Amino acid sequence: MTKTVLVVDDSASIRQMVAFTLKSAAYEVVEAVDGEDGLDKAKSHSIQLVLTDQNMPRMDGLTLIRSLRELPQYKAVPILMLTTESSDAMKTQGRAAGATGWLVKPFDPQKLIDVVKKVIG
Amino acid sequence: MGSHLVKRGSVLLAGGVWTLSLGVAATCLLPATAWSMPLVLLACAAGWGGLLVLCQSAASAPDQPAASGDTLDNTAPLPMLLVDSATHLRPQLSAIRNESDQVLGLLGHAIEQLAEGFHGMHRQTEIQRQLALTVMASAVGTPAPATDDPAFVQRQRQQHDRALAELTASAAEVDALVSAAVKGLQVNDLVSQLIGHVLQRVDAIDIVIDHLNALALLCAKAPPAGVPDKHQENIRVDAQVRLVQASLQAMVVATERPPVAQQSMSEGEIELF
Repeated sequence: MTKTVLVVDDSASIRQMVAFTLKSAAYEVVEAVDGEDGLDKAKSHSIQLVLTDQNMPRMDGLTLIRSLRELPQYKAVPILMLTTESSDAMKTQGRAAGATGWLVKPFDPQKLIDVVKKVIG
Repeated sequence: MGSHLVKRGSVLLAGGVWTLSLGVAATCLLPATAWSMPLVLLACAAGWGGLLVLCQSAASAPDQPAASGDTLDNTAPLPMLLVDSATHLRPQLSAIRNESDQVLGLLGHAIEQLAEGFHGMHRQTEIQRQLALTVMASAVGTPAPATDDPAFVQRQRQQHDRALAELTASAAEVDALVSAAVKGLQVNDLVSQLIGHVLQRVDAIDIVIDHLNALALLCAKAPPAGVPDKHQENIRVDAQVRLVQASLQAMVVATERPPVAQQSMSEGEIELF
């Protein structure tokens, strides 16, 4: 069964790159333009992994993670943060919010695929 | 007493505008090198030093009689200069906003085109590779030419194996090139965030200029005729000075954490919790 990844980023070019990368590894991709959109799409799709940016309009990544973790169906779904933020303070906040991992942009396509495979197979 | 206050306010205003001007100039013109910040600080200190000397001489000078009426006092040159500066700085800040938006628009469009081009090329290369593999596979199944020459058959097999190895190596090279392109094309996101941060600085500077302008107008406005108590004027000016100081502090807080620390497009670290 094909696994679906929810990609949440306000940058169209990043969504395009991530989608291109994951589709080349046979994953389905659902795109969302910010945290609020991501939360809506998460509720209306069956998602196996969430990949989210931090700095976005309307709802940031940390708030999205906290909101998802409150939903019963997302208690155990892996959530990876893909962001330009690289400070330890932000990573600590991410871990406390319920993130599964932290990837700093720019990402290497093969390494992104490796991490996704490691997390959801 | 009142004119001392006005002079003190004027010096504060001039210092503020000098600092802001340097800040704007440094943000827009100076490259982010190790020496640029000390240079700005040195220029800033020199400006404030000159103004403090001016302040001392102003304080020791006898008070001028205040003009009457609720009009701008054209004999207060520093506040008038500051009002003029604010008038001229605002369009500059607007221009920075517009030009930054233009840069972002152009960059976004270019990256979109480049990304589509790269992805299209990658798809076509993959199709070509699959076609070549299919052709080679069918060639292997083709009946051998009417020859019993084992050397000929051996040469054919070697050519086939060599072509297959080259095709595999070429595919790996294409993958590496596409990876590098995908990394490079993420520049749009990093630059957008940095420009967004620069625009936050511009917004903060705009607010400071607003308060400086209000203070300058207050200082340039001659006190109403027949006001015996300068205390009210002191309170108004001090309140406005505090607003300027608060907006300067807010500017520092709003812009102290840049969203992008990367200095190159090399890949970022990965950490699984």
